[in-house]
Amino acid sequence: MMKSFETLTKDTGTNKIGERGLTMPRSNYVANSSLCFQLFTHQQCAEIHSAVLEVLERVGVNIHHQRALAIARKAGAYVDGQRVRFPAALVEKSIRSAPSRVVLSDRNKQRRIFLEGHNFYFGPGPTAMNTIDPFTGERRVPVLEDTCRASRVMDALPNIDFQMDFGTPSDVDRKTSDVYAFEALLNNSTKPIVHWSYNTRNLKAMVEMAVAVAGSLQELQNNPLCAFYCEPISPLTHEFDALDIAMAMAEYNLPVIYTPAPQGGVTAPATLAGNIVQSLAESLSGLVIHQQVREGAPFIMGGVITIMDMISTQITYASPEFNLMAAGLIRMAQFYEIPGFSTAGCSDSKSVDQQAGIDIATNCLMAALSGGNLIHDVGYMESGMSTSLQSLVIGDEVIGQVKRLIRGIEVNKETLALDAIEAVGPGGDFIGEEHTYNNFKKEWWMPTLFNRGRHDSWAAQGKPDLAELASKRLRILLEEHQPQALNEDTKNRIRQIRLAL
Amino acid sequence: MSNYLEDLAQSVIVGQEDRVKQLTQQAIDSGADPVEIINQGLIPGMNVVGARFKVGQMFVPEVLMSARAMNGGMELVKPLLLDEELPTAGKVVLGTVKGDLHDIGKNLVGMMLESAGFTVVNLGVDAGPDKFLQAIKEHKPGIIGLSALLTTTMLSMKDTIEVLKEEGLRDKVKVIIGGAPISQDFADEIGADGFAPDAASATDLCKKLLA
Repeated sequence: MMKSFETLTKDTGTNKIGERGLTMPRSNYVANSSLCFQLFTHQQCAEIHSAVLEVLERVGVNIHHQRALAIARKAGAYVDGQRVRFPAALVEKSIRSAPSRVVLSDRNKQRRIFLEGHNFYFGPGPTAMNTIDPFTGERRVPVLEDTCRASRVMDALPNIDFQMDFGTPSDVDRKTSDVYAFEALLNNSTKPIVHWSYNTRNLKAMVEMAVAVAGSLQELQNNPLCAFYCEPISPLTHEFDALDIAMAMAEYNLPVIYTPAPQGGVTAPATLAGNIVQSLAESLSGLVIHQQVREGAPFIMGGVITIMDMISTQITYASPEFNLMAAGLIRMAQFYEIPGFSTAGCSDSKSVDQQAGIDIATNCLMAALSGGNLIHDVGYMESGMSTSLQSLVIGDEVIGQVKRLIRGIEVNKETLALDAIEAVGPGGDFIGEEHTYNNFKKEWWMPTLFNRGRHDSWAAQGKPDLAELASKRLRILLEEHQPQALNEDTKNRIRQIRLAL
Repeated sequence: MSNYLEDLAQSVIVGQEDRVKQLTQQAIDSGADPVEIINQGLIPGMNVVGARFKVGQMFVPEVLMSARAMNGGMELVKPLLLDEELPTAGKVVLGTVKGDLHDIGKNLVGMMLESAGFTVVNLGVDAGPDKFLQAIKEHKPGIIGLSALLTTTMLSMKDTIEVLKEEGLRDKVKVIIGGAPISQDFADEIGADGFAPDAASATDLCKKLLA
């Protein structure tokens, strides 16, 4: 008999709160007036979970890491060479021991991002091989100054909650470009950082930098200013560096994002449910090793689950299938009560055009509706091959709009406005009413980019399109926004750490 | 007799391996010319597939299924042919470079090359310069293809090219490279003969380099 996971967690009285618990802070929830949707019913979640357990027990995964193999064997997994199969109890034990919430702080230890329940936070994408210059339109290989500039823009944009590097800098030592980028993010913005690492050696240097900023490892653990992500290889393969980084993060007791990137029809089944099952098997087998290294260490369940376009052989970051599988993954993360890492604000388009606008608007709304906690890749273009600051600025606007949509319509005495309707009466107007004055800003979203003006004034401005408006806003942000500087002493210390590498 | 050729080509186009094998076997049993089976049945079918793929009327999984069907027939005919009669567009050795376990892109290239009539030797993943060197000596390919997904591992492509120079083999074989972080600029920088952004253009590139 399949026992529901949520019931199971309640019966055993673990740290996990049941799905219907109403005390959790949420920005997207079922029991109130805000908008949300759930892709799967509870029964479907249970069915998917059962399939994941079956994959892990019948097929298993390949692990290219000697120590992880030993850990798996000791934990009771069935190890046969590099192939590891997992008993259901071990997987479920790991799901239960992973915390149901992870909090990320900014550089000043202000707790900013609460990854739990249906909360959602948006941020940009990492490691792209190209960036599209917002002022020249040139598509080129990013340099370190691009990372610094992008970091300042992320610092300025109100709806971008965390930073990522926005492209691997190419003008620095290629074997430590991750470390250079991390230093740039620390120096140019106070916002929480979601980053990556080539290997554990570089990771250690970056954690050392974060410790230098936080004051001590304990203070960093208490208020983590960064999370690191790593990726297994689909199908069902944990390569050395990704798993090594996840294990190191468990040892540090700092949040790791384990995020497979299965491509439907190529490295995963073409069916959407099958792709989600495989992706979950990949992240949960990583979780088992992670929790064995340190039980209770913070873990964020990721997955950039997509399909490959069967003509161009490019993966998509904006198809309906992509959006559905992202929502499905997040539904499963909620079922497991493990914070989820989702993807939106990105496009398959090659330029900031109509397609990009439609892609971004669709996937940001879908991601927020599904309540996906840490949503990355805002500003990604052409299937993740490049980034665009113009697109990031447009994404910020879209997210503002999406946040308003998710708030829904509040229904209470004040909002029902009976007194105001009586005061104005038939034939009057509301524009001068106190009720209007008190409520319009509270209830309405104000665009900072989208043009709602008249044709005349638009024509007088030279008929700018959205991309031009984004560049204009970007220029102003870059000229006017002064991020809080990191103190010279800490700045020097993190520089020394990089130089010593 | 000519009807079977049309039927054969059609079965390749729709990717029915069983039907292709059945028709090929029937043709062989009734004394048809093996070269005719290939050149007027199997290959014309695959040519239609190639043309339809180029204009977006057929998709990768369909192309691969057609190639599988064609090869099913080819395997039956091959024993009846002399070596010099065997059609091949050329031989390509493929591998993902040292330190990199990502192989789907390279495998796709391999499948598309095979669909286009190339003979492909797949070295798998984590293939260092020595492995390529050994494969060149053993298989004598016209082209070697190096693949990488990571910006760190792509650097080892240059090592392989350097080793080929040291061994005096650089002018004996064309080197092509590919993978998400690879660009034409990088190919020029390390002295590769070509770069292709995807599997279909890799096939065109190989045809061009061996023409």
